[in-house]
Amino acid sequence: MVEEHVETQENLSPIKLEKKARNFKKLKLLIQPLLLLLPSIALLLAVYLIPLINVAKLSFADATMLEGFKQWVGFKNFQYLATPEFLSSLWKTAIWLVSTVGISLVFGLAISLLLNKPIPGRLFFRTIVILPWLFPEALTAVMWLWTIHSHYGLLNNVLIKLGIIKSGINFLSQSLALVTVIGIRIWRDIPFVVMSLMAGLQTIPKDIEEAAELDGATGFKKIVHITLPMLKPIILTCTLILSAWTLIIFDMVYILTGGGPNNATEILSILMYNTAFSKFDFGLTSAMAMVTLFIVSLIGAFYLRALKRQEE
Amino acid sequence: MRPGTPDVVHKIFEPMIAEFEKENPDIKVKLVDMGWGEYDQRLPTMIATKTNPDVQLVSQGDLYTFSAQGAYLPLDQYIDNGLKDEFTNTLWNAGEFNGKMYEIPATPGADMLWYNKDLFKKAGLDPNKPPQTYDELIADAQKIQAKTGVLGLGMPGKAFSDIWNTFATIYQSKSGLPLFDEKSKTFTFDNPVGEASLQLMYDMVNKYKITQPNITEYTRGDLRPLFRDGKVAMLIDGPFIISSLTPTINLDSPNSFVGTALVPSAEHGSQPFFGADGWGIASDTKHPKEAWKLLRFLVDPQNQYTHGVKYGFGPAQKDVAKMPDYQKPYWQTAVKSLDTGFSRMKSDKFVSLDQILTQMVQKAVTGAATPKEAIKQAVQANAQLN
Repeated sequence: MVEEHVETQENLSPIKLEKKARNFKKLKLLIQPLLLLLPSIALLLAVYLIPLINVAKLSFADATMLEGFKQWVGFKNFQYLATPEFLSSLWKTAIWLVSTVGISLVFGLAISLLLNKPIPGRLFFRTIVILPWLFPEALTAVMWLWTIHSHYGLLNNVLIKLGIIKSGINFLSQSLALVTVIGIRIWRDIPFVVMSLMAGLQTIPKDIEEAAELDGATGFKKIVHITLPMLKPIILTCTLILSAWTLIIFDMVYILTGGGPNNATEILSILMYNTAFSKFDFGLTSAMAMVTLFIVSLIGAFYLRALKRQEE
Repeated sequence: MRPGTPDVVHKIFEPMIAEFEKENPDIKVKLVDMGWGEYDQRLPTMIATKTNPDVQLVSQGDLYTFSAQGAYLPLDQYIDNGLKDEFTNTLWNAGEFNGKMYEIPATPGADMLWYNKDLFKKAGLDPNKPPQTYDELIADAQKIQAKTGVLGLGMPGKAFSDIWNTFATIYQSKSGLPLFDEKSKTFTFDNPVGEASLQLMYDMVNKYKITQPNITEYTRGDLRPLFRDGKVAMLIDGPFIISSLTPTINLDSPNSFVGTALVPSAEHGSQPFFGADGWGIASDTKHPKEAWKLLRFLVDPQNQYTHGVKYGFGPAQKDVAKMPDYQKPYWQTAVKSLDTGFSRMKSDKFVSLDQILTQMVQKAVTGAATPKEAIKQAVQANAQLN
């Protein structure tokens, strides 16, 4: 007769008890952080995921602002993405994005390198450089609207008085409007780049710079071979953040030009606004929003890949 | 809710609301104000989220767009017999859409010619003989520019609403037709008359150079202070300009430089564009009877008169047109200009049509497209809406 062997706490071996305790500890270590993160995850789900799913759903639907979802239409909304109107807006958005981010980074880097040196009045210049960042977007647009006015603007009046031009330039004409809004955006973005890169410059170990100088690396060579590689993670982060911000900017461009003249500055955000609030076509607007999300995701993926390579 | 200049709105309506509440102690009214720009952006959201104020002054075009989607209450059930008789047929009709009344017209304003009599004198022109035709307008503007250096005519061209009103005025005067046929839902200007109207606007800017060169920097609102300050000799605008003028100019003074006239005539006379916003009731109001009571109070002729002369628009009702301030010369022009002309397009796609027309005019007047091309594009864009 075989006696049934039942394990109880009393007859568990010390090894098994220890294993059980270790497993419980592992489980606790796994669950506890998740529980602590739960409120943040819930908030993220509510604020990001649910609206995202809703937009994705509406992009395949006939939907208006007042009536909401009406019926499924398959890929009909996405067919608009092949129209000249949308492609033109996409092209302008690409110019807007690449120019704004690229030039902001270049100028921001140059200014932060300068301000990192012990120049006279460094504190004063650091303060001035950050000032554009303090203005709200709408105020920036209104301020510049008056500054660049072809007849009454300060800029044109100064240029005329200096004899550089004979009559006022219409900076918001069809040929110049996009360049002008890009310029104003760069003016607004440079402080962010400067602040980020200056923080990064402080983290570059002095002994590495000194060692490089001893090896004969000075000026431009030092920047290319020491400074830039050390700043790469911050530059990548700035690129990602600026790109995401630039893609979603609406108020500044709308106040300056309304997307005109003649659609010259109708970037995606303006096109989406007009589609949503003039045509009230939420299905089409959602399809465009999905495209914007895709572009931002691509930029994010590129950033993560570059960062991973940097770490390796 | 009364969109517009908040300071002016509060000065007009706070006493009115106090009086209404005194007469109706069981009804409390909260005044909501916002600028027209903010109103344009917030109205769709307010309707979608059912936070639309109970009684509001609705922009005529928005009324057509949103009443088609059930946002406003048909008022026919409340309208008493005498009310319709207070209005001209043209104005009463402006508040009707799809056979129902959705607004009681309150702020009518037709395009008029505003001109600077002092600049006319300086240019050797008779200040009591404003131009009667567009050829005369161009000639007078050129003379003023040559003799005084001041711009002859202000023309808006920025990508916001109202820049196509001037096109509408010119086309209606040339053709005798409204811009839009409500039955077929098509534009009526796809023809040589439409092209000629756009061409005239283009010529005024680029050939005769009687306007500011960079019209895309200016809205109608931007031009009003320029007229006030003597930087522009003539404007085609509604009586809404009055609120920009009166803070610094005494229009009643015999020495006032401000002159008014009907818009220049063309082949079919002077047929200005006019708008007639009005009071409506949100369909999701929880207090329809009280809302109607307030609306009826607001359209009482005395209250309409106060609202009209203080804010700056013509008389909606026949009795209001007889009241003292509307006998003044500049108001008389505003009253007469409501006798002819056509109002905004009645379409549930008004907001989209507004954008199509804005783009059409901007393209044609800046030379980005020929008038024919611009009209074709507008016609195609309209066809895609229907």
